[in-house]
Amino acid sequence: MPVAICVFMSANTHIGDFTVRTLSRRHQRILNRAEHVLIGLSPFNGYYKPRLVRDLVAWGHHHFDRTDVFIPGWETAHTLTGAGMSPRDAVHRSRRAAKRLRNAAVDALRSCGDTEPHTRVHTSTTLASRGAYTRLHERVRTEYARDPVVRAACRETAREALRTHCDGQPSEQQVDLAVSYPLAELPLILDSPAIFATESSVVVYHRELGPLTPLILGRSPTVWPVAGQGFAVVTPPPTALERREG
Amino acid sequence: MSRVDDFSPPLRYPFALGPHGTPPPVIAWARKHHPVCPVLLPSGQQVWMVTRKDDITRLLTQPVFSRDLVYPGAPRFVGEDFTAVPGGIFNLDGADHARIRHILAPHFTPSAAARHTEMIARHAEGLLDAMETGLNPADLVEAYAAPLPLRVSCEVLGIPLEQRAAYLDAFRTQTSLVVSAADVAAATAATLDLTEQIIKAKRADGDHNGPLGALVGAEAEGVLSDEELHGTASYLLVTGSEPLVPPLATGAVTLMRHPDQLNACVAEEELWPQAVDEVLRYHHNGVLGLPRVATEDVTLHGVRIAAGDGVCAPMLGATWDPRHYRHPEKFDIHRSGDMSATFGAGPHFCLGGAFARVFLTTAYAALFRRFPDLFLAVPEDDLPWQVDIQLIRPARVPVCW
Ligand code: HEM
Repeated sequence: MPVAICVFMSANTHIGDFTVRTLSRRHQRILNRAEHVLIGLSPFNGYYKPRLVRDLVAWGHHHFDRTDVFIPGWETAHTLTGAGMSPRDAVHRSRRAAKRLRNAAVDALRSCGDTEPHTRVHTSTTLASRGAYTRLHERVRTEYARDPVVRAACRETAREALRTHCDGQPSEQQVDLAVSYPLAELPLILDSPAIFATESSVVVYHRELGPLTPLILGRSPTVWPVAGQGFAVVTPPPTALERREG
Repeated sequence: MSRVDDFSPPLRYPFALGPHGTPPPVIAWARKHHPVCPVLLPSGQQVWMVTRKDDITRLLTQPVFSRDLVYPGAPRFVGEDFTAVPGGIFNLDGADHARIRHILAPHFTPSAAARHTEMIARHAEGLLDAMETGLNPADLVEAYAAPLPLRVSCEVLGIPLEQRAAYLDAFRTQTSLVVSAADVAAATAATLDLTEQIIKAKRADGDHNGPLGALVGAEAEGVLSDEELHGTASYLLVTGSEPLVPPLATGAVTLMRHPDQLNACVAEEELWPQAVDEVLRYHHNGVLGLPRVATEDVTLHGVRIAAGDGVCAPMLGATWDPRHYRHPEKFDIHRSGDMSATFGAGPHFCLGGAFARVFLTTAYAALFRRFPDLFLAVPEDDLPWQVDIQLIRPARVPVCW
């Protein structure tokens, strides 16, 4: 179902009950096409409760032609090992967190009438069967080694993630461990249209991606988002948030 | 998973896999309902597929089915891959084939293969050292299953790793099912370029060691034509390493999914050869074998295969045939029976069979000796199976220890 065309005045628009904020006119145009939305969920921070996941998925399903969900994969364990957890515990904790998100997303898709909900919930591992994802992943890993913009963006993202798990400033060695996580997600904000075989696609998340913003806005000399790539910050209506907290 | 009534001939290749890299369910369906089943290849050509073990043996052993596809318009998966290269061992019949096979055979006997054990173990340990000191969890494919076959094969063939690695993409394109016919032909040409460089170097050095050296020597003595030298050498480059990646990766997954049997092998390493045989029965490294062509009309199960028609067999059809293997869906390292059907039959029976067994035995033993508690870092249903290429394998296997 098409989204009502909104004029790009401020950064905020409303789609259904949700507030949607884009970073540029181009992203706004892509959002307005409403062809495909990729809903990014994140583990560990307690934000994505099943209720909220359900509301988000229902929102995507209602307003976009196609909806997919991305949940972080095994690389999140590197954030935890970076923060000092044993690999075994880190993997178990990551798997548990991913499972909770996945179950919530699958239930949500199913209650929207999706008969194959499992095929629309993705991780960096499941996407590795798609050439478009693996090629981009390889590319960003190569550029990480030589492009200072990519490097800084990924290291700062890893640092932020580490800070939520340990006190004080993470060391450079800790960041080395944790950087696989942003590297695994980067392909999705550069070319989710290719990965999901669509002309345009909007990645939505509950907050701005901070250090990755320069890459989203195309400021790296080596990797930049394709023309059909959008990004938006989506905030549920206060009622949904209250329910989340309640 | 697909239901039986989801299928109807002609089938379209590639087929959807079963769970955890097991054979496409359509093979069992075809074995039961259409033992000679029409299949549409990505090239748009239609071939017949036989799926019963006894029929597969017939296809592979009777001279009426020729391996010579070196002519325009021959059945191809996508385009002119290595089945189109003149002089290649894979593409010859009869006496010419036997002459080339005779030159290479001494390099691939079980005892010749066993002589590589130490070298394989050395490379395995080197990669495991790096894995152990690197990130945990890690991707087993990137850390071990992809690089080990390449390193080992370069040693066997006596060629520099960097030179060969530069052509990996060409090999992958040649076996891809989602590229254009022109891409495949270009990749085949690139592989022949690499072959030419390698042969030149071996001729210049007078290097007659190993299988490639033996071919160069035989050509110098007039036993082999220049075309046969190039065609066969290029096939050895293609086949020596990448076909080992799938069983190494997939087998490790299947072993981790059967911890009792894995633990038995770890405790008693003499069990590894049996485990390797069962992995190779359970998972072939691909699905549909490359076509043969009928040289005269043949009728099989009431279906007329006309002269000129292409015929293919999935080796998994043989190794999962319930008439020959009880409960084929059960992974059981203690199974007995014909444990070499995965390598084909007849004159083209896999030349590298003994070597593949030694390689996998050494590689699994080293991996699980180092990490006896290795486990999957993701749910097994998440593993990304690649189906857009002839070789079936998980693109990644995140593991933890
Ligand atoms: C586990 C891994 C492998 C499997 C499952 C496998 C399987 C097969 C099969 C089924 C054939 C017969 C094809 C046909 O008749 O249509 C074959 C042929 C062949 N294989 Fe393998 N193979 C493996 C690894 C290797 C390796 C490592 C080498 C290399 C040295 C190798 C070299 C060959 C050659 C040269 C032929 C052609 C033989 C001929 O035409 O006379 N294979 N393989």
